[in-house]
Amino acid sequence: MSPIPPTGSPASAEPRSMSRRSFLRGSTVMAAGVAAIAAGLAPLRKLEDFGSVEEFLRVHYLELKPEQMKEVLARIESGVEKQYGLRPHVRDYRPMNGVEFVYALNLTRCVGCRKCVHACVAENNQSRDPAIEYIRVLKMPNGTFDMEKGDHNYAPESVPEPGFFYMPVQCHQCKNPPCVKVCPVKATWQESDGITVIDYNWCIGCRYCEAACPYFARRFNFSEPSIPKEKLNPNMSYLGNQPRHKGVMEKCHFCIQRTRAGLYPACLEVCPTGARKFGNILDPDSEVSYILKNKRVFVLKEEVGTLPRFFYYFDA
Amino acid sequence: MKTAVRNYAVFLWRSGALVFEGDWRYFAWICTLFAICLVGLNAYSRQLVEGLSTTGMTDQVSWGVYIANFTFLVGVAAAAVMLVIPVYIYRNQELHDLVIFGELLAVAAILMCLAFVTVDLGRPERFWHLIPFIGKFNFPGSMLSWDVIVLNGYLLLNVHICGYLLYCRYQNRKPAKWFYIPFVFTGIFWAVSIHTVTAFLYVGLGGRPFWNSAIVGPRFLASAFTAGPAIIILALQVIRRFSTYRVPDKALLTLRSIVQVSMLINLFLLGNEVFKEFYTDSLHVASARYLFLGLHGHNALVPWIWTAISFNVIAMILLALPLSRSLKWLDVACVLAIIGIWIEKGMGLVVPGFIPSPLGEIVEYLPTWNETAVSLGIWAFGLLCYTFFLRMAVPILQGTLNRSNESPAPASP
Amino acid sequence: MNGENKKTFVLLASAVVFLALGLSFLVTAPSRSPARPPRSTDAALRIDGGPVRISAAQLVKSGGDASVLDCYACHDEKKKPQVPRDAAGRVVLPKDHADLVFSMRNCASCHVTGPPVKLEVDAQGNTIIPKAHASDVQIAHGGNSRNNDCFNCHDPAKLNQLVTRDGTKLKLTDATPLCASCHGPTYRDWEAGIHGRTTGAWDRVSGSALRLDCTSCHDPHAPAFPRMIPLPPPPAPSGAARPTPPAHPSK
Repeated sequence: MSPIPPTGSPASAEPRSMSRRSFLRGSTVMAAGVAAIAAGLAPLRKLEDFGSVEEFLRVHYLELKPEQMKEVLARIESGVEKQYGLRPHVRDYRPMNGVEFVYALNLTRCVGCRKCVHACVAENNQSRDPAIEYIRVLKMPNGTFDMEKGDHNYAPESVPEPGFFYMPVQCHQCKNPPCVKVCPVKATWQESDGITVIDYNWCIGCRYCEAACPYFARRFNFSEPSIPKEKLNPNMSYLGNQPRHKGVMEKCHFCIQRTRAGLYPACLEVCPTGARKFGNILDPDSEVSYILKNKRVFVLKEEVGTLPRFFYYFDA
Repeated sequence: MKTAVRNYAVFLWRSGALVFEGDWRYFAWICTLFAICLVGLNAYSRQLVEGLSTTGMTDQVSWGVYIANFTFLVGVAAAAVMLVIPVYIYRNQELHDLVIFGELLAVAAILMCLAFVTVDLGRPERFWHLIPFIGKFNFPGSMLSWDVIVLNGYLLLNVHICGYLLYCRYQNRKPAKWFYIPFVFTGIFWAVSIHTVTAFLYVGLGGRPFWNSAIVGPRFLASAFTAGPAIIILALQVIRRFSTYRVPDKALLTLRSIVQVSMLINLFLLGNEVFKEFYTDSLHVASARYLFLGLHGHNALVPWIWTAISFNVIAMILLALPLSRSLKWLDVACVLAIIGIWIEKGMGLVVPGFIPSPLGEIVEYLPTWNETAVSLGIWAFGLLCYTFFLRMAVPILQGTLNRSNESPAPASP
Repeated sequence: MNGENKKTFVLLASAVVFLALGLSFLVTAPSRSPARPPRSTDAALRIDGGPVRISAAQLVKSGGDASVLDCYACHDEKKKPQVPRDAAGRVVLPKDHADLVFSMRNCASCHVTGPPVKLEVDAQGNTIIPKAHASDVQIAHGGNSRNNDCFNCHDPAKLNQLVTRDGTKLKLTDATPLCASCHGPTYRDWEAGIHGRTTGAWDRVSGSALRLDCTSCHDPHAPAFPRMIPLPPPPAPSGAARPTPPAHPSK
């Protein structure tokens, strides 16, 4: 019954016809197996975007020296030009000194038009298919903050609807960010101006940060993003809106290519009612300083201890 | 030195060659497993090309069947230690060799865990970012970094212990105690740690109230020490059936009592969890409500969890009765326990943590065919590895593969 | 069949299975998920869109097309005026129409000569809008018919200026102090920069921001913002069923 043959080479113990038979059948099945492995791996011929050797070996953003960064930016620009036919301008914006960004949102003024959602998509070169949107607007019934009662998919003929208020949620750039805590390779970290950034070339795509975020702020590229050529925003930054590739995380970064150049983020620019306010909390004369001093602001899920930099308030 | 290397090379060569020897049932088994691996390999190749959109995972449910299997298998690997404790702490010499079978199972399980984590990554070629000092390792902040260390360490520990003991047996040498006993005792603590660290991956997330509970760690260990020894019970019976190795009944009954106690604790902890969720009835109960009762008309997981609980309860009853001293009923209880715990840890833990999403959205999860094929391929790979390990280890332990029957060295050219 | 024959059979059958699998891998190309219909919301969006009211002059200056203005709100359709156009075919606005604000009528822009306008009130004291103006002035400024008297804001003695409650006269283009005289807290917020749209640069050192006054966004006769058509909801998550809206709040 034992399947274990006597040790020692079987060839010497068995008659010659057996050894020829066993050699033939053994090599047949091995050859078939190897052929099947090769066929199984055949889809890999279509693998286009595993990147260049340089991309594979590139170090973390925080370790790139200025000359290396220049080369990397030039390489990204030519890569985008090859793919989209438009040469972008990719910069490495550094945080400004003495600046800590804070966002405030007036829930009385938000009418739920979702213009912010789509302005963000246009500004930040997000994939249109599959569609990625950093901002999620919740339609909440008056009188509760239970998000289970929120409707993400409202599509009435016109907004706002009576009896409801609208609450856009995006990355809060928390002071105590759980996503930064859990990333195993430090692909996401917080910079001195408060923005939590992602090095798209360092992220390994484990999605632990997505599990950790209490605000559903992070998005994963489940497949290669696709942006229509004519919709590409050529004003790009390395940590912000350079086109991403499949298998990496992305999220709202307060329009780093605009805000670190002194401009308002796209969601604020387009908001028709002026519900969104943004600025430097370290400047006592800024709009957000006024709001935090004078309005009854609150944050979402304060008990989780994330210390968000995104404040909501009701006005009138 | 040269002879030592040569001897070791001969040992490896001879053990490796054994893998290609066997009767028709052995080949039927490994060829079937290989075919399943092929399907899995092809499915994974598609996933590499298209991205994780070939799976059923979404931004709302971003971990699925890969991580569920990973979680279950870390528990199985940790449970190998359950054989170590009676042998080394209680000095039960009869079971001595069986420790090797348990640790070989742990090695196979850890290889499966590493495979499941790798296929779950969006950019697997960037694994080098995880290597300390070469990449950027977020230790001690990220529990995933702890997991990388403890899993790889456990793998090395077990490979060393098994490899050394088997090689010594092959060489007819008494193993040097200092070279393996400290590792064995380290392995006991390390086994507990691998599963606790994996539990902490989930526990530390404040944004997921379903996971953010201190009981998750103990539940992990209790279920691991139920399912793991149950698998070992079945594996030992397979060894009994397909080789001449004599597995004493005492081993099976010792393991049975471990599974008995662990299952009791497992169900007790489940009861604790259910009470806390449903008696309190706060907003945080949404995920538990989704799992056990369905939420707002979404109830895909309800039949699964109740099946799992009934399997576990039946297994516990069977194990408590003297009836299960008979191998037939013991096997039934083990199979029920393994399936029940697989469901409980997989669909019963990973998926409900994501439903509802942190913003209250309910998006259900269903694995795709491609995802299932990759998972089955990895299971087949793990079983194939374990088959090969046993195929090499049993003759060594029996003495049929030994330096004494090495063919004489060929005449020098 | 003896053991060796069975083994041969198993191995050769396995070889056949492997080759068949290999063939199936080659034949079935990686299937692409069905293309989702493109979402054309970008067209609905301009980065500086929004219900900002601008005067005809601002409209023309910013390159907008003045043909959206309804000339026949004042001019007799039967006696069509000569509409001057530029080389590109766009309407060129006559200089004396520069202060016409889209959808807002300046009484004096038409009632230049003739007797002062006498408004009629009905039994409840509400102003009756003259039939000729029924289409271009809708009074919806506050509930309880609060502002149904035109002369709450307009100066009855001089129709091309405004007057506050305490008698201060204001130009039509400088309505802000008049609005502030009732809407104090809003005015305070507006002065601090947190009421209303501000676009441009948050960093006033390196750049400038555009701040608008009250009537640039609010129609003084019907200041509430018109309802908007919302842009489409988020995409259904790939591979999963579309999430259903929540049950009515019952808990």
